[in-house]
Amino acid sequence: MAKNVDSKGKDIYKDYTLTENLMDNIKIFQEIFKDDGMFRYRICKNSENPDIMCCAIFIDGMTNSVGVSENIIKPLVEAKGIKWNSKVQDNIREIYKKVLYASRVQHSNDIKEIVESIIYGDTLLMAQGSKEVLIIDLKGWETRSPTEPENEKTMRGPREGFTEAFLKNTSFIRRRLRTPDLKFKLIKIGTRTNTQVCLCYLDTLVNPKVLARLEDKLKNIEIDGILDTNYLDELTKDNPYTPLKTSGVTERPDIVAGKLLEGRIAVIVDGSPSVMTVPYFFIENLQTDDDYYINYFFAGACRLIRILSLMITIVVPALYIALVAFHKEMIPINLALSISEARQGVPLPIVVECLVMLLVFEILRESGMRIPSNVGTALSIVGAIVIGQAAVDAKFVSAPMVIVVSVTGITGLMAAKMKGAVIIYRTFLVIMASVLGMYGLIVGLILIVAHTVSLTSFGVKYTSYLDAYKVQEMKDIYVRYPWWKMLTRPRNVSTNLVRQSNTKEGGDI
Amino acid sequence: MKIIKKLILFILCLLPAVFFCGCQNYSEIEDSYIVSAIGVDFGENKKYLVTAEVVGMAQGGEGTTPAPGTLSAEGDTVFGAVHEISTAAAKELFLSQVSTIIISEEVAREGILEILDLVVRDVELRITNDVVVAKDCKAYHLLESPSMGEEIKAFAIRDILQSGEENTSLSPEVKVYELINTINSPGISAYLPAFSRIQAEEKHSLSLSGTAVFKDDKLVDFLGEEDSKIMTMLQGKTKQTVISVKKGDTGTGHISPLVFNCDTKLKPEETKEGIKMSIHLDLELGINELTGKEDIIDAQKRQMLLKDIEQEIKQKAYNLIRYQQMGSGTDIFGFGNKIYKNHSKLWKKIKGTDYFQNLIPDINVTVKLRSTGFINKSPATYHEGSNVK
Repeated sequence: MAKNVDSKGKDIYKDYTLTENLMDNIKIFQEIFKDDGMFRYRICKNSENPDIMCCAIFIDGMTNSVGVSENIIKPLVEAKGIKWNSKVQDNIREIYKKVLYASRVQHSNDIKEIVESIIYGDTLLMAQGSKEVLIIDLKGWETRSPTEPENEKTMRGPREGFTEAFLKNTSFIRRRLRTPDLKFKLIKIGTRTNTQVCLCYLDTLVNPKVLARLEDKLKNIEIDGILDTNYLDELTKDNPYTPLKTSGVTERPDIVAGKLLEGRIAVIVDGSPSVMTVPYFFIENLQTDDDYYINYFFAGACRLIRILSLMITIVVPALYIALVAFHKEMIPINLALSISEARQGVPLPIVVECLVMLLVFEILRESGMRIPSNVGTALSIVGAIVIGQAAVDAKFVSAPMVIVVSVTGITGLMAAKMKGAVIIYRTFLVIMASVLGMYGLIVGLILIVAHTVSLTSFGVKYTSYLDAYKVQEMKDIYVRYPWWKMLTRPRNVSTNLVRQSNTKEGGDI
Repeated sequence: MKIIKKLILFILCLLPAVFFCGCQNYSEIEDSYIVSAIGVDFGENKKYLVTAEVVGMAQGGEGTTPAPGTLSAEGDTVFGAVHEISTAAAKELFLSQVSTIIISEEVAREGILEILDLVVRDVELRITNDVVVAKDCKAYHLLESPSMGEEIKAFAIRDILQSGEENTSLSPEVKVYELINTINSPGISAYLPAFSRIQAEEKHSLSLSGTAVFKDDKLVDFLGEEDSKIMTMLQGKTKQTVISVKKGDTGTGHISPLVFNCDTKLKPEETKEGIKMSIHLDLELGINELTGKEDIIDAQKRQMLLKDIEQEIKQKAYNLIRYQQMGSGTDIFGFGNKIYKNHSKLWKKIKGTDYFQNLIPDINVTVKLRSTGFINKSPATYHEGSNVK
């Protein structure tokens, strides 16, 4: 899988094999970690029997150095009565059994595995006269505390978020799903980054076809590095040329647990707090975790508003142009009058005005995201005054256009997960509407819908259940049904449908 | 099931594409004059003089409502005149938002078919426009005279007609397609609301002043306000109105009961003397005002009052029908249409004859007082020592 070749195309591990001579072995690692200033080794001898000579190798900053001194070096130096025979291979096992104070220890003599472990923060312990070495897990790098993700804030529900630490992330999920059914399948991806990727699923719920497809795709990836989940998302997409996301991304463990319970698969990438969930449906773009933690009436209303907002943010600028430039007779006369009056003296044609304003809004949004947060208020004031007030007063743009663009912008924030696609579709529709009027708008919408329904996410229809008419199929689509109505899992996600055996309520599985 | 679903989806996708098809002529909204009303007059040499009321022509300051202005030109035809305006005006005329078409009395007397044809045939003008007749003045007089409350005359006329339909039921609103339908229907004559200028505080103002009566497409007569109300009642279109009734034996002066509801039933009968049209008017009244000191609320006097009202309405209705029969002979009430719809055999017999002039009206009026007993006495008679006696 991973090809560890240097610049000359030579396998960097091929030449090395561990010997029984400790000093030779140390040399091997010195050579491998040549020019690496963080490389540390420490040779120590037992105070009772100086023949017992060991060496701990680790990388500074990646290990818990107190742990190394307390749990490895101290017991080694102070140990008494160790059976030591410099000609017997088992010396290292003796140390493993009687000396070390460490829970996660692994035997190995595979140089590649050893090197990767050292890099990952493990401590290597070698003993004189032993080919085998011990890999001791005393990882001790600094990680962020699991705070609530900035862009997935909720009113209710857990406040925990994934961090960059892989093991912590898996523990978050494990803590929520305390069943041996929960599987973590490990794969390493990235020839240079050797990133740990973990497929996480509930064995009895997962759709084996989807799982096989995902595994197959992941195994076929050959890339030098994976730094975030989005790498995997794009590399495994069924339809690579779509602006829509066909896999879910979240930083919240509770969401991941929820998706696993539906039979989906989570992909955790070491070093990234974002976890990918597949398969993914279109409607998941418009779901939030609050939907499940607050009263279902309110949650349903909120989701309907989000769906409406998505439509508004895509269609409204194009609709405005189509009406004002082509179908003036469709505007109620009072509105037509005020638009006409507001447009008097505005130099730009309405299409250009619209595109410029949309662009300005996107510039404001993007700059608001990139600048340090303490400058943000200044930006929003400038944005509000420049665009909202001064531009209209100076007759650069008309007031109705400012309203249209603001409505578009605000509603666009509601469908934040689809931001990229929304901007592209909106601009596309504006251009269609400015050329063909309402006809162009409708044709554009038809094209967008046609494209969307053609998508699949790991073999599952992307727009699944948007056309559902059975109670158990539409229970979590346009509105969320109360929990006592959620009796089954989505049919094309999970192979095990029954979620609550209480069939007297809904029946109809 | 799946095929049906797919089919429905397919049709749903296709329908909008079909209905919204054909968009061209990209133009900026501020590059055209939005016309709200068109007035048709005769200019010199019987040429058509068309006046367009353009909204937002006079630029106001910030926050003011767009002030209307008028543009006019002459032409051999109405459309020719409209085109003539466009050539002279700074911007093109945008006619899709026209809400009212005003036809002056003199043009209406010559016939309105040409105007109706233009409205139906033209792409921009709508057949849902209101049509009104300018009585005793030119159409452009109405468009140029200031009105009460609403700056834009087209809106003023539309609002007067629409609120009138609910509140005063003076003369029903007539839209272009309704007018055309009426002209083409057997047994009914066309009518239009008539507007005229009134003098109010040294200013001219427009007001609804009655009904213009048409024979085919030509204006023949006007009805006054009271007659128009009775006409609306006979047509069964009254929703709420106020009629003025003389207090007969019960005292002096007038009383204006509010008519909440008027149920009109027409029943043609063939008798020896000719065709009898029995007309039953079922009115619900409310007394909103009592003039005079006399208490008319006690049972006996109330009955007398109701009798008076019945009698009065009956008389007025009879007079109006007789007037129409003797005068222009136009069946604006749609009596013939009723016969045509419900008694086709009878209609075949009388078709083409002067059936309307020979119709015998048999009018029956019943009135009912609503919500009596809330206030029994006149405010002035509350206590014995009152000065009012």
